[in-house]
Amino acid sequence: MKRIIFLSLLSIILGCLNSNAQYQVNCIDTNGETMTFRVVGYGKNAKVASHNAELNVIKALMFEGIPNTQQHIPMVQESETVALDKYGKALKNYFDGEYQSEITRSVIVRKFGKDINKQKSITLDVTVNIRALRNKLERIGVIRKFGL
Amino acid sequence: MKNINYILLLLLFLTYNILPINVIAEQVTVQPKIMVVPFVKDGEDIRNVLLDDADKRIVLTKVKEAFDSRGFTTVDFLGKMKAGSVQSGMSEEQQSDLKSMIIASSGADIYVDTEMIINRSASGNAVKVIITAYDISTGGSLSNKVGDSGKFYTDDFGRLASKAIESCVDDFLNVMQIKFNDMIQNGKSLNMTIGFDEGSNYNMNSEIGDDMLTIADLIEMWLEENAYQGNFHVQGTTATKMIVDDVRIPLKDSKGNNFTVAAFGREFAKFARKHGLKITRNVVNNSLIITIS
Repeated sequence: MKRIIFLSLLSIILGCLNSNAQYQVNCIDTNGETMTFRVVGYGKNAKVASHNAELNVIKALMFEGIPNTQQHIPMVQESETVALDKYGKALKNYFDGEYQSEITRSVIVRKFGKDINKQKSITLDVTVNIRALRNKLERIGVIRKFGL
Repeated sequence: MKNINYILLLLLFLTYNILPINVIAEQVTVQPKIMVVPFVKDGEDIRNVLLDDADKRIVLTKVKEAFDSRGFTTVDFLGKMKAGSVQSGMSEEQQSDLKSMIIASSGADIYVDTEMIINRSASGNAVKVIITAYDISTGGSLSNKVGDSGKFYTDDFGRLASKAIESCVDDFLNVMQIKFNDMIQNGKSLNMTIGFDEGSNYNMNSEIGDDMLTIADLIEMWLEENAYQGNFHVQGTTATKMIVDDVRIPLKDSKGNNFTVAAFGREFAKFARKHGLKITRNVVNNSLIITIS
């Protein structure tokens, strides 16, 4: 019985860990349909850190909006946790790799290594096709199409 | 006991990992038709404003292009204006009403009022555009933004207008969509004024019905039941008038058709008849004016 209670608690804690912290994303250029962001990604190796950096940009656009840009309003109304619960697998698949089709360019600005806080990270300039991202989110049903 | 443990474990795993999937339902949206119209000052002839100023026509076309390129259905204001003038044979004196006439007869759902400010200087030329979207059926403002091209050494005002529009159109549409989402969740807004005929035997304090409630009380109770999700706000009630500055009505009726202000008025007429009151109704844009005889 103790084991069940322990496992239940563990499962709930793991579920709660889905909620994300801040995304270190800054807009450095906008050009019509595309926007370029400077972003930091953390991870145990360069591949994981790059993936996290790119995902941070997508998630910041979706759930938080980027201040001082035209995309300051988040694309998705719900919070990340609620959206993940609501749209489940579709959103998970998207975050696992499909999001890359909306990234038109990803350039390393600072190579993978330890930052000032001794955390392994990488800094990238990531260019996102905003309209394509919006269309994709409409297609998978995460946001409504424009209109009533 | 071991089996129960495994079942519980399996259930927990399903709860957190598998169950919240594929909840995507097809979201049906009706895309509104948009018409871009030029801003005119009081007394200005809209036809002269456009025909005499090529830059304004360029800006108007560029704003329209911005919507077209995003896949929205737009209504051409210049085309409508020409057709409207020919059909109605309007005289110069009537031109100030031409804009509202075109808006009303265009078939568009939203109109975007566009003002352009050209700034010529030795350090370069710039264009600012002020765009404001209005819901034609309710007259409510949906979104407004100011776009700035920045200064450039060019006389190509079309290009500058494009830059100005591009600098704000996404934000403009995002705000508009937030307003739409609010309408979907909380209903459309309208206002209602209920008054009495001069010769009427009733006033708001008249007690009617078996419960001997005042007309004002009965109206409020009706609104509680009939406003969308019970959302309404009474601005004030006097003996002769009740002003309800915000009543929410649903976007669609039970059959999926548009729920109009007139339909809401019809429901009110049924309620009045039930209590032996004779009423007349007038609908002006998003206002419902009820007069009790």
